[in-house]
Amino acid sequence: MLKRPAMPYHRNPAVYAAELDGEVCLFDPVTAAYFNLNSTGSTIWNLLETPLTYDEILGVLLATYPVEDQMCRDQCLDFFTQALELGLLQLAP
Amino acid sequence: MPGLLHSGPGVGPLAVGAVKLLRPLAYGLFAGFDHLIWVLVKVIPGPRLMALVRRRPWIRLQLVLAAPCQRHWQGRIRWLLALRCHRAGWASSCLSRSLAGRILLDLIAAPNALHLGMGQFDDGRKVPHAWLSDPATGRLFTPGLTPGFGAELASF
Repeated sequence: MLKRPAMPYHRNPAVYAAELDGEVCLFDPVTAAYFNLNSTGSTIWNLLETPLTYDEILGVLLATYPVEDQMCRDQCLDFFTQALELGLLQLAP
Repeated sequence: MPGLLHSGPGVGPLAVGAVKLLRPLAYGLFAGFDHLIWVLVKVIPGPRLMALVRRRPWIRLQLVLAAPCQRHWQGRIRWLLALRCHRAGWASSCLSRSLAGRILLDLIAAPNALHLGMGQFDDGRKVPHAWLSDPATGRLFTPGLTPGFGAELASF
């Protein structure tokens, strides 16, 4: 469970990103780690061009894609948990 | 492509023989250097490696060369890199070759840019790729991404 679902999140500005074949590739220059986001991750990354809360992201995804509510929540939570752990996303100040 | 050493008019058979020996020797040394960098890339933790790539501590050993001399040596390094990229196999990667080239180019104060990106194979697999270019001319020292099959992420 996310600690602060109501707080806005944003991309880590130090992370380099580029789109390849419809999916987002990331490079963290601090850890020298590459990441390939899947379609869900890429969509969330693109939505986070401006800071959004977890609930707002979830709302946009549920309104845009014909996806089951629980599946969307699970995938979104999974992405946020991993992205925060890896330092790809940050809590907006 | 300029060779590592040139034989010209007035150069005796002994010198020509030396040139023939020195080219493989130079390539062998560079291949060894590439292997060493490959091992270091595997051993050094990512954050430390990135700090080294950014700080370039070897610049302290930089040689001050006249422009024609620098161009000459740049051509030699370009030749070494092209040959190494063509022949490299075991214990070598695009990153190790690019870093080895960058260190040599930095030592003669030749401008160079290290690019990091994601390449894509025909079957859709994505693989990280590194390459080296001359920022002034855009000419590549090591092969870059195939157009339409990759994306550049960062350059240092």
